[in-house]
Amino acid sequence: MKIFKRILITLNVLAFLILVYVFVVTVVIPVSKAYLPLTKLERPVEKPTKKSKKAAEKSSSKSTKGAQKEVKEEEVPVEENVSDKELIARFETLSNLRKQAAFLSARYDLSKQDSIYLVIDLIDSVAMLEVKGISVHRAKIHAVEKSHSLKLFHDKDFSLWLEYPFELKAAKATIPKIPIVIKQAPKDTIEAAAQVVIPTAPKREDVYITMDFTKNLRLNISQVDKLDSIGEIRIDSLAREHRKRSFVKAYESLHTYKYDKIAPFINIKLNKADATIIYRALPDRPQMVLRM
Amino acid sequence: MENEIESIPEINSSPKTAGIWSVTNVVLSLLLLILLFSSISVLYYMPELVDLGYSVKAVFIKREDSHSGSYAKLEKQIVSTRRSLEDLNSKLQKLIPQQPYIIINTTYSSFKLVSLGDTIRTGVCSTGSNTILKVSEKKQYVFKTPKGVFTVINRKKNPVWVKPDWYFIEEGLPIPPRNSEERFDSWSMGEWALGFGDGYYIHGTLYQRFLGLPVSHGCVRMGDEDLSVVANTLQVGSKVYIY
Repeated sequence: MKIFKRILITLNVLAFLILVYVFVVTVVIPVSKAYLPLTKLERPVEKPTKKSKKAAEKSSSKSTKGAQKEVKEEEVPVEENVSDKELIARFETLSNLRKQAAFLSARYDLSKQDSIYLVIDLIDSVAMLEVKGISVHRAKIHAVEKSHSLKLFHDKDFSLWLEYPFELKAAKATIPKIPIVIKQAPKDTIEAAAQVVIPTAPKREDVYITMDFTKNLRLNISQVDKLDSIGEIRIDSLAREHRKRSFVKAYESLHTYKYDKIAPFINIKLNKADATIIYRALPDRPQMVLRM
Repeated sequence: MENEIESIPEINSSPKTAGIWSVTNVVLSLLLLILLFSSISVLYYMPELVDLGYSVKAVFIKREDSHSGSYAKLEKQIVSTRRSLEDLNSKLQKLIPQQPYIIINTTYSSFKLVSLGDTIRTGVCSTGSNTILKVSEKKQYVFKTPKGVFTVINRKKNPVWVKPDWYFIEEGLPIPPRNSEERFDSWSMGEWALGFGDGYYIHGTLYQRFLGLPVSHGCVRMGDEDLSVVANTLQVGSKVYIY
């Protein structure tokens, strides 16, 4: 009996140590290592051509002249005895303006392309499809859940993070991208007549979309509408797949000590129709602009 | 005797002691299971736990940005950011076409006619059925409406449809020669046809009961009244946005 008890105590101690080890290796270390991981963002550098160099010189000389003029025109009050509160309030204003500028700048960049792109505005709770700067579809975002990792950004880095569009790397969904029907060409009119089907409204399946973008961002789109049983099964299987992958990664990190970069996520809820429209309208490698 | 005396309490106390031990053992066993289960749970809920860790960490991050710089410097930055915002806004405003344009939703087969930012008509239409007609191993036709930005390149009143090969293949009919009379049809496309490139048109239809459904071969079919308004509003050069 005593031996059994001792074995049990030893096993408990071992299990406790395993728990601590697992917790430290898979949670504590990744969190502590991830100290402002997204600060080292690099702006896409365009190779300067002779023309662009000249243009840049011209514009810089113009802009500096202009800026000097403008600064003279709009004299900024210099108040060095400002309270911390005021300073912080002004800083927040600047930070919001920077984010807004980053959002518009990214949209303007994308408007130069021919492709349809996605605009997610978490401040106004709107998801939009745009092409050439024209909003072709607008959907209300009913609920938002954001990753806590987004709080780790410094404001400047955050603006920089938002300033350049996110590009889709991979997407998974419970609905097909294009609901293709394959038909064999009939050999004669009799076969053609047999193939005739009276068109009916396509069945609208439940939607859940996972989109992995560059800069390690994951966007999950789910529907606010009630799920049917098939939809639930499909969404569960997709969720299980993700869970399985993260479990395997966590297990592997126990002995490899290799961790993925911080992967911020954003979960949004849309109407089923809007989610379907957005998923089907986007090209294979769409880009996204984010405002938050 | 001594041995007997010593052995008596052991015999008497054994059921009680065994009971206590068994309770302890059960507790220890349960604890063991909980600990092992917790380890697996940590692995299972790792993403959530890590994210929770970030929220804790975010509290302790020293935000240098928020206290750096003087008030004057901040004000200057605010002024310049406001200026660039205005500049970007005006640039984006310039992208809105001055001519009326049409937006077509292929998922729900609907359209929206817009002029100077105001929606002047909405309605249903028929868009591509997303069907692949397989003729042979090497040859197939794809019936889908293209997505993106297009421009109206021509407007035809009372258009004549020149039936392409796929029409005859789909009907199980022999394909007639290029200029055969069988190919010309002057009633199927309605009153107007607005071409937006690659043989795609916005036109009328005989199958008005299928409006709102994806049944076409790639063109955008409209009801008579809608088509009349759209054709009279859009001109050559007007934009067609399809998504």
